[in-house]
Amino acid sequence: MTIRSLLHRLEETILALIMAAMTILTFVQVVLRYGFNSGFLWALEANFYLFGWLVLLGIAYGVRVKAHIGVDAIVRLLPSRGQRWVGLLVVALAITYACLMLYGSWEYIDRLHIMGVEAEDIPVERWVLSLCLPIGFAMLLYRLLEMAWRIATGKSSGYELADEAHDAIRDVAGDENPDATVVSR
Amino acid sequence: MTTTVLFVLLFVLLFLGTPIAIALGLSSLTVILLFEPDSIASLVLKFFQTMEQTTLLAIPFFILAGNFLTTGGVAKRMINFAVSTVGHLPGGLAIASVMACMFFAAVSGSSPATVVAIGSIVIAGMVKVGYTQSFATGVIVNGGTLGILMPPSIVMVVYAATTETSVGRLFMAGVLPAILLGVVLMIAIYIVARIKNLPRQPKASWTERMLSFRDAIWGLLLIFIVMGGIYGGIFTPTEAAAVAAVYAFIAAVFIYRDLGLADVPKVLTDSSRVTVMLMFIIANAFLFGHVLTTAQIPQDIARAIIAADLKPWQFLIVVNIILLIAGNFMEPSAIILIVAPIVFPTAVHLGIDPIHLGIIFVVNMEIGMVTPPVGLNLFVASGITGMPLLKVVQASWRWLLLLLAFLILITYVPEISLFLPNTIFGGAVP
Repeated sequence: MTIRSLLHRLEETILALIMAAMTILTFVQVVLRYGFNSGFLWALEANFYLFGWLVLLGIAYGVRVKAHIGVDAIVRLLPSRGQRWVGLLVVALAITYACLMLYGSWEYIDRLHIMGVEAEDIPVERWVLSLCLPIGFAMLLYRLLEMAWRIATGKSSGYELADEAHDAIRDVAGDENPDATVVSR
Repeated sequence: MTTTVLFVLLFVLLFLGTPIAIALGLSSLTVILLFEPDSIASLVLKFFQTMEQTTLLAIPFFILAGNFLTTGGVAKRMINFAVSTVGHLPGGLAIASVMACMFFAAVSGSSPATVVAIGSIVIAGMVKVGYTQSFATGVIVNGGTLGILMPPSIVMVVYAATTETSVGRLFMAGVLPAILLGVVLMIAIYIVARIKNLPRQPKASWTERMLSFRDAIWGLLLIFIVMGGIYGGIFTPTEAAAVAAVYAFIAAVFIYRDLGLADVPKVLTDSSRVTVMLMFIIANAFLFGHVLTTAQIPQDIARAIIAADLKPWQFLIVVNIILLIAGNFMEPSAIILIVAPIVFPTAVHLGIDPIHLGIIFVVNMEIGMVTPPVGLNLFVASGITGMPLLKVVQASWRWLLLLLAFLILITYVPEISLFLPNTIFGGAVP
C-alpha cells in the first residue's frame, strides 16, 4: 500500500469515526435522560465541534471522491476544448474561494488565540477546537490544485462534479460496480 | 445594486458549472467584500456556526439510518409484503410497487434511492409478467418521488432549518399528502389496468400476508419510532434521527443480517460523504442568506408584492412557477436554501402557513425530480433499466400530469397538509 492510499484510508476512517461518535453520543444522551435521568453537560458542545470537524475535513474528501454537485447541463453543450477552458476557470474560482476562506479562518483562529478563551463545557481552548477551519480549507485548496493539474494535463475533461444518478445507484447497490443493479435491458 | 451583483454573480457561477456550494459562497463573499464592512473572519464564523444548529444535526443521522436500511434486502421484503396485500388486484404488481415506494420512502429520505431500491427489483418483475417496460418505469419514476414527501425527509429538515419552522410539524404535515399521492397513483394504475386488462398476481393467503408482514415490519418500525417519538414528545427530531440510526444499524446487522459488521465502516463513510456534500451547500447558503438579510432583499420583495396587492393565491402561483422552473435545473435542497429565505417573509405576511408552504415546496421538488434536464429520478431509472433517457421521459410524462394536479390540490387545500400537525400539536404556531 502506498503512502497516498494509506492517507486516503486514514481520511475515510476519521470521517467514519466522527460520524459514529456523533450518533452514539446523541443516542446515549437520550438513553441517559430516560434511563438514568442524567446526561453529559458537554454533549451539545461536543456534537457541535464533531459536526464541524466532520464537515470541514469532509469538504476536501468530497472533492477527491467527486461528491460535490453542480449544474453542468449548460457546460456540457460546449465542445470538449471549451469544456476544459471553462473547467479551468471554475477551478480558479473555487481556488479563490478556498483562499478567501483559508485567510478568514486564519484571522478567526488568530483572534480566538489572542483571547485565549476556553469552550463552555469542554476544558480546551476554543482556538484548538476550531482548527478544523484552516485545516479543512487548506486541504480543499490542495485538492483543487490537484484537479487543476488534471484538467491542465488533459486527464480530466472539466471541473469534476458528482454524477448523482451514478452515486445513488452505487449507494443502494452497496457495490463499487453500478452495473450489478442492472436487472433488465 | 447589491442585489443585482449578488444574483448575476450567483447565476453566472452556477451555469458555468461551479459546485453549488462554492457558487453560493463566492458570490456572497464578493458582495460582502465590495459593499459591506464585515470582515472575512466574521463570515467564516457564520459559516462555522451553521454546524451549531441542532436541527441540521438530524441530517447526518437520517442519512445514516437510511443508508443502513436502503439495501436490496429491505426493499425486497417491503415489495413482498405489498404484493401479498394488493397484488391480486388488476395491475396488482404496479399497485404494489407504488405501495412499496411508500413504505420505502418511510425509511429513506431520498427519492432517487427509492427509485433504485424498489425499481431495480420490480421493473424487471413487471416486465416478466407482461407489463411494458415503459409502463413499469413510468410508475416507479413517479412513485419514487414519495421519498422526499414521506417523512423522514432530508429536504424537509433543510426547509425547517432555513425558515426556522418545526421539523416535527413539517414531518407530520407530510404524512397525509404522501399517503394521498400514493393512493391517487394506485387508483390511476387500477383504472389503466381495467382498461388495458393488465395482469393480476395470484391472491396471497392470509398466512402468506402475515409472514411477509412480519418480515417487513422491522424496516417499517423506523417511521413509527421517528413519528411516535416526536409525537409523544419523547425526543426532538434530531434525537429521533439518532435513535433511528442506531435502530437501523441493529435491524440491518443483527435482525435482517443484510449487512455484516465489516460493512459498517463503508456505510459510515458513504453517509459522511452525502452529509458533507449537503452541509457544505447549507453552510454557504447561510452565508448567502446573511447577505440577503443584510441587504434587506427579502423585505424589499415583500414590500413590492404587498404594494402590487397580490392575493395569496396569486402569490402561490408565482412561487410554484419559480420552483417548477428551478426544479428543472437544481437539486431540491439547494433550491430550498436559495428560494425559501426570499419568499418566506412575503408568504408569512400574506397569511400563508409556513408549514403549508413547506409542503408546497416539497411537492414542487418532487415534480422537479421527474422533469428533464436534471430530474434525478429519470437518470436513475435510465441507469437501472438501461433505457435511454428520452424513453424514460416518454414513459413518465403522463404520470407527471397527475403530480401537477396533485400540486394544485396541495397548494389550494391547505387542510390536507395542516390537518394532522394542527390536530396533534394544537393550533397553528407561526
